[in-house]
Amino acid sequence: MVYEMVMSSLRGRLLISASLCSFIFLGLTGITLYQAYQQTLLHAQKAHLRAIINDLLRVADPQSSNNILSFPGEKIEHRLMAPGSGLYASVISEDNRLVWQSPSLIGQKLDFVKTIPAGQVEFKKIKENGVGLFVMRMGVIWEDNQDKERGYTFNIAQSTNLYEQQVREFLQDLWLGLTSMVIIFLLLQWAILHWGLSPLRRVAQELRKIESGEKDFLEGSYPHELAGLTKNLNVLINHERLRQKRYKNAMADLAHSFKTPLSVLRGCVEQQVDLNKIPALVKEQVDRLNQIVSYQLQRAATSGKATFSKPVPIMPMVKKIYSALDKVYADKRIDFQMDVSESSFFYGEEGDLFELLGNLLDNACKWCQKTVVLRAFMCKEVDVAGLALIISDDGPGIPALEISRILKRGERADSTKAGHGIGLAVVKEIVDAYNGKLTLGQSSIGGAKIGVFLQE
Amino acid sequence: MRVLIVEDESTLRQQLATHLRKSGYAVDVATDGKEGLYYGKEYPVDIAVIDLGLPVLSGLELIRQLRAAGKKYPILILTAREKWQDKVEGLEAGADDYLVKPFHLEELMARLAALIRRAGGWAQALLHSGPIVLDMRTQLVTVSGDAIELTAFEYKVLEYLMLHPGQVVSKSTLTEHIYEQDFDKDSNVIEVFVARLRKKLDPDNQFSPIETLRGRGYRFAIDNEKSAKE
Repeated sequence: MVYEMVMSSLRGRLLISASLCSFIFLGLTGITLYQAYQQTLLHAQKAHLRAIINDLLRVADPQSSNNILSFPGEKIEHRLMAPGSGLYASVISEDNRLVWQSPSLIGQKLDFVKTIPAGQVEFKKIKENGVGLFVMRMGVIWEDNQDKERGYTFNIAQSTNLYEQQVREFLQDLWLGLTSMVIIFLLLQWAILHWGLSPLRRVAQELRKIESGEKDFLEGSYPHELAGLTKNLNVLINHERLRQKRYKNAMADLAHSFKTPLSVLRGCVEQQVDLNKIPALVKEQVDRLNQIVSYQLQRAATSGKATFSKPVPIMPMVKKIYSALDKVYADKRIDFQMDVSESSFFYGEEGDLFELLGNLLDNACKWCQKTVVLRAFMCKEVDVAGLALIISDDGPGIPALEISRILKRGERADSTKAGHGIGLAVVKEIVDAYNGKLTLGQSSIGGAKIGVFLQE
Repeated sequence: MRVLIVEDESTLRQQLATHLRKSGYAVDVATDGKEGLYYGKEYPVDIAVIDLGLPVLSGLELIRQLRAAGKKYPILILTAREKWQDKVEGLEAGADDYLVKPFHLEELMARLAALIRRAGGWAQALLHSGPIVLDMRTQLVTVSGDAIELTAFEYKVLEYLMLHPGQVVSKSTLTEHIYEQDFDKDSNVIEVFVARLRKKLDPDNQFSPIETLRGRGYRFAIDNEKSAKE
């Protein structure tokens, strides 16, 4: 559970990954330093023991009187003279006889002595009887006073106590140093993240304010990586606002438009209208109410231009609508002609395009004699690129008066006129919602020609 | 003609049933999709009126299953939804026409008639063969321009035969498509109607519009010269 909590926070993720990195990195550094230090110490030991051996070699007199190596006491390293000092020496002959032993070995039971061939040097760290020792051995050959060659092995041992103490102290310092570095590093990380992620916190804050109604839009200035996000969020918010407004307006208009037909109907009842006239009157008002409902609901449901709309291909939809209309108007045997370019796309909601094409083509089929022509292509209008749709039929066409009425802005389609009325009013609503253009005119085949331009 | 109404709203359903019976249809009703599927598959339906918003089985699904079961009679959709997407969806599922609620009953009747004669191969509202002309809209029959008086059932027999021109129609088929309940009708009634029809249409025995095929049924002969069938 903690894992999920941490992983789900950006900061958590970044902190965890940075910490892991720093642990690994500093850990490796520590190990390297430790090993390097050990090596240094060992080298020093080696050098030291080498020096002792050299000293002994210098002091040794192989040509003393009784042919036995002797080591005149005053010239030897004083630690070799003190019992239990920690520095020990032992010289043995090639046949493993003890030739000389340093006084420091008195009372010590330490066996570190071995013969090795002449000319060879050996350096080892051993543990003897529970005691750690650095041992250096060297094999030599000397001529005695009878010019006979004799081999000896010099064995020097040094207790590892000091060495180990030094290493321990180093480790302690290292731990302390690295740990404090890690802590400082983590603190810095946290501070950097806090500062670095603050724009995201700001966005979250602003969104909360928008939700609660204090603010309308995201207003802060944000770093360049977030700018795209905040801009799109604002467009989305705006779009939703407009949509809500559209619903409210449609409902208000609906309520308003209902008043007249309802009062006529009420009048029927209250004012004792001629009984014969009532059925016709009721029918007329009911039709009108029905039209109003259709139109306003359609208007409210129109989605309008959205930011993230996927381009909708025109061709498949046209085919569907054509086959549907072919069934409905089967008696007419309409000649459907279409010229739809492959690259024509509608940048908006699929539902809106369906309603747009459905109404336009249905109208054309209803009024045509035999032919309906649809052309769809992408084009440029002034310097705006977009989709152009042109539907023509060979019917009676639209009277000029109707054209001007439909195109007039803000016209409420609550007249009871059948015909191009409702269908085109819906088309106009959709075109307006997408800030497009609608043109009505006469087609070359005799009937109406309706042009729609919708920008990308 | 036999019509199946599948509509869950009882007032509308009863209104439709009454009106259709008055106009000469034999009517079966179903109140939900599952019932509709049963009637649609088992009964000799000539045309169906199906509401889209049905309980148990949706209207769209019902249409799909009827078509999948090989039922080819025309289907008219009733729907409150007027979005084009829904209309197209309904037609793609297998319906032949749609009507948006609320609608005028006359419009419904006209559309039903249109679908029936289209299914019978007639492109126009007037069915004719030789001198006989039957107008489905007015239910008037004329021979060489003179109007003929037919009883309701005589008209139904003639209409059914003319909507299946050139096909052999058995007496039991006629009975099923003309009467709602056929359990107590025997085929002699049909013989009587056909005999009377012949007398009224062709009193002088000039062109024998209705053929009898012994043991099989009746056939309305098509006049190749003047037939309006496409």
